[in-house]
Amino acid sequence: MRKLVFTLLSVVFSTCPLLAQQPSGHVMKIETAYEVIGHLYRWYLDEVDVREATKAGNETIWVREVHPELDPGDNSRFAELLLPVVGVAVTLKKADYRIEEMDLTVKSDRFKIVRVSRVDRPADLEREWTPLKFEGPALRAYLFAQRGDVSFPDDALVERLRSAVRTQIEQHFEDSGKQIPEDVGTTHCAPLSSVANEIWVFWEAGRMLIQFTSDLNIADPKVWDQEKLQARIYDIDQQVVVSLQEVAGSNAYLTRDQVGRALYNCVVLGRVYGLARPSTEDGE
Amino acid sequence: MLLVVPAYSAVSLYPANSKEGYVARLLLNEVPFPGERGWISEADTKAAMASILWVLHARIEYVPRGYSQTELATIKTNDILDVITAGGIRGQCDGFYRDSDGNLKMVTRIPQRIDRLLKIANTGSPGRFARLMEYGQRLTIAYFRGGMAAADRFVSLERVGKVVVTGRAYSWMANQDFYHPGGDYIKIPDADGGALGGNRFSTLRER
Repeated sequence: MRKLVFTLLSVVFSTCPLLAQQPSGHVMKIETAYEVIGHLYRWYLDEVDVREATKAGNETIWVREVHPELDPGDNSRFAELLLPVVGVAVTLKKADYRIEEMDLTVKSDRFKIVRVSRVDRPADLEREWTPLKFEGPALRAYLFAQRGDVSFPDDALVERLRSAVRTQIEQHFEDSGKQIPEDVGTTHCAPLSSVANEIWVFWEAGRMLIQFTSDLNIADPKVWDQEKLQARIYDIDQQVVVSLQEVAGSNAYLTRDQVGRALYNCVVLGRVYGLARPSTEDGE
Repeated sequence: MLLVVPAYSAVSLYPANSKEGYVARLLLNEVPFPGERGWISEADTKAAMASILWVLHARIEYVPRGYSQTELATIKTNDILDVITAGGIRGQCDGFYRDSDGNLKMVTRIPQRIDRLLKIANTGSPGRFARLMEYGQRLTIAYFRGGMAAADRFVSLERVGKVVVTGRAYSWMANQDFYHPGGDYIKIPDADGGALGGNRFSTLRER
């Protein structure tokens, strides 16, 4: 399916003069920008946003490279992508640095999303940002074509993920003081994103959402072997509010909107994995 | 007499059940280390730790005119440990709470991560991990001795866009930049340095 989308994308680019005329010196390829928008479409945007973004007259994405002060020897690059008509900004990173203590190189071959923000239109838009033109119908065609496009971890990553989820569940029971059941059931794993180093998992029996993130490619075994993985676990019965207004100042909650999207990705688009250890596994 | 001095001392933290150790673990838990998402630089992570400590302190000492402490911290107190643990396990600082006997606690994932970071920090000659761990601990030691080891970078903030704000930060959140922080909290934009260590800091609307 992924191949199909890229084939479609290349057809769109080759038949669309505006897309083909990407100015030189751009911080990112327009294919990457499209994939980022595809990620937003799946994880952040609403019907209203898509309607606005694809409306005639709104055919510009703005990008720029940003230069935060980095440690010596760190050659990572940072970029921002802006959709001003919907007020969404995305911060991306192309990692390239060493962790000497771990004898580990963190190097990404492409920009990956590190933050998505709602923002006002910047006053310096024309001065500081570079426009990337697209055509509304082309973007709509791309979003439509990729809406069901999914890719999942390979067997090795599934096994690492299964182990990491089990660890989270064991810790959850340890914290709650309850006995972990013999059968912890199954999880629903959201499709992998090509532009975000994260995996969302819904543990059905425990009604928990677990988010794994890293600065490394999430499919890289080093992420799991060297434990460069952060995990957050959310109890959807306890940690969900309609608006953060209800829990202003706390950092413990997700909005119902976020959880709805996560569940759609995990349950509807995702794949079910058993949590039993491999020797007793009946299969996925 | 020949004095033998080790090349370096192992990094360690105060015990988790001490006030210095507990607050240090909060600061260290809320920021990214190399290899983790949100990592930018040593200076950025250090600035995030200092700003988090300032948020907690501001909820005690710098409640803006027109606001009550209870509104900001869900509790009335002079104790930073109460500010951190207010609301229980899913309260103001996710995973930091007191048990039914009032003992300081944190969910399992937090000490596990801190232990892992300590292990890395103590591998080979001291590097960024060691400096970051030491920085988090030094901040809290200084705090409990009555001082702040770093300035509040948001103290002079007067406006965010067209909104007049109180100055100082009063909350921080990770992974929530897409949503309104709630209440009269106003996200501090990148242009004012509001994104630090993978977190977005928020100030308050002037009342």
